[in-house]
Amino acid sequence: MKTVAGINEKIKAGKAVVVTAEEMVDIVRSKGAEKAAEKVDVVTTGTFSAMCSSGAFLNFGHSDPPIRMTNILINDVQAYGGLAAVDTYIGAAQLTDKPDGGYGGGHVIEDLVAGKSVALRAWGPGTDCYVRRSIDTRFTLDDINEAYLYNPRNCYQNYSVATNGSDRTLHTYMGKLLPRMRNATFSSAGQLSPLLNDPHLATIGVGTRIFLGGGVGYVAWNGTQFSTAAAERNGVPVSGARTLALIGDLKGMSRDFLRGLDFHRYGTSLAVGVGIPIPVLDAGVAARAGISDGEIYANMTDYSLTERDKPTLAQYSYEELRSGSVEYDGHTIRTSSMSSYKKARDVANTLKGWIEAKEFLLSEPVQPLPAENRLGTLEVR
Amino acid sequence: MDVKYRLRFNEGNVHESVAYILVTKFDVVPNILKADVKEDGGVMILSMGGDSDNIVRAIEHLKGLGISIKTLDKYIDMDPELCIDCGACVSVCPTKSFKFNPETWEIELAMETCVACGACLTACPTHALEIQL
Ligand code: SF4
Ligand code: SF4
Repeated sequence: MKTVAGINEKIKAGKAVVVTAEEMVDIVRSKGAEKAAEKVDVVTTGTFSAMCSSGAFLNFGHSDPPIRMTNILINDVQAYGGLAAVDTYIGAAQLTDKPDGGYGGGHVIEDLVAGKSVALRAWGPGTDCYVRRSIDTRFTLDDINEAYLYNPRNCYQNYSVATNGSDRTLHTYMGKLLPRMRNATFSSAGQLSPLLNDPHLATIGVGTRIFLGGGVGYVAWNGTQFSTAAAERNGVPVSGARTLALIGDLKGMSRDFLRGLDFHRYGTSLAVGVGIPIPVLDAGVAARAGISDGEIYANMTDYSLTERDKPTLAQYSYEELRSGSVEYDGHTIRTSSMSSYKKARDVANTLKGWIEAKEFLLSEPVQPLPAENRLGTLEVR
Repeated sequence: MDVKYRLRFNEGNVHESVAYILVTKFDVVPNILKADVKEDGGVMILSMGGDSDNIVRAIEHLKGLGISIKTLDKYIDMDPELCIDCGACVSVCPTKSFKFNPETWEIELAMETCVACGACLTACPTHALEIQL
């Protein structure tokens, strides 16, 4: 059996064989998992999609005289004022205070990584130690002390396919859903998606070094709503299951892999590019990383139902979903992807390039993620 | 594809009945695809069916009325700087004008089938699509 340390030696020697999860499909198919495990050292994965539970911690540095900020607006988007004097957290889904909308925390983060100057207005109570009560200035990413992305829930392992059985158009975080099931949307990189290629997290844990937003990041913890209870098909969940909390230095990231999104009449989000390298330690890892779109399924539900638990209408493979349409109850439903397969590929290929260039070494998890966890619910009492 | 024209009206000529003029004076059949005309002016998009000489004469006549006319080769501008090739626009387009390139997985927009309905505009999460009116 190979080890992560052994693979890192090969990377440093420029001898590691690195392939993307898409390329791995054919390798496992033609050579079998045993041979694939001997040949391939690392499989790179990738996804690029809306991940609403994302945001960044910022530290502005102190003005003269200093201020303890309790009310903070960056480009008219509220940032959290409950941390120490000049620390804040800006969340991707926070919408601008401006009436026209269309801009939010995700866009602020995109503007910062793009090198743009953003407006900062903040207010504080004025205290004996922080006498200033307001500030109105501008800053860029370079100007501030720290800026790191900390995303409490990214990389959903799988996700439902959304359709709309009602008589009116719905505007949702799964996009525009036309009436009477005229379309359906899905959001996963499928065969390229990080957590679908290592479905039980045999190689991924706290501390795993990853590609995040065009820079280097780490798995910080399990993501919120982490669940191991989802039904599986071909060894992978058919609905939302495991998630990751991710962290990384915003200063090393790029606009190519971090984009503010505005879902019409829903709100804003951040599209995040995430790539996780999977060390091919044995044939089992190889077989799982060789899974294809035709073997990964997702449940379709009706988003016009407002209750929490929506019944499953049908199950489709990502190969079917990507074909442009699926059949349901005798009629054709056209499909749209909400996550970018092109960008997911860019992520996996960029990470592959880094490893081949000896710029990125694999890390061993310092702690596994939960082997068992069920989702709780919020009861109204 | 039919050539499409954008007519821009001002306060002085907004009351001209374009469809009536085209049919009765020039034997040209207009197909009005979009109209956003108010008291003080506006725009209309149409295609015209009929003899091509008649169409040319009709256009000259309308220009003589002070209506500015532009031939439209595309309705929708897709900004490649903003587009992330997600595909959210694909299934909402009634004319199936958006397609993935099966090799690169980039989104391609076929201008010749677009009918300027605008359905894709609110489906795009990056504001990459703009309608040219
Ligand atoms: S305007 Fe309508 S027809 Fe044209 S591309 Fe958009 S959705 Fe399709
Ligand atoms: S919805 Fe917008 S960003 Fe997505 S592929 Fe279409 S034009 Fe590009």
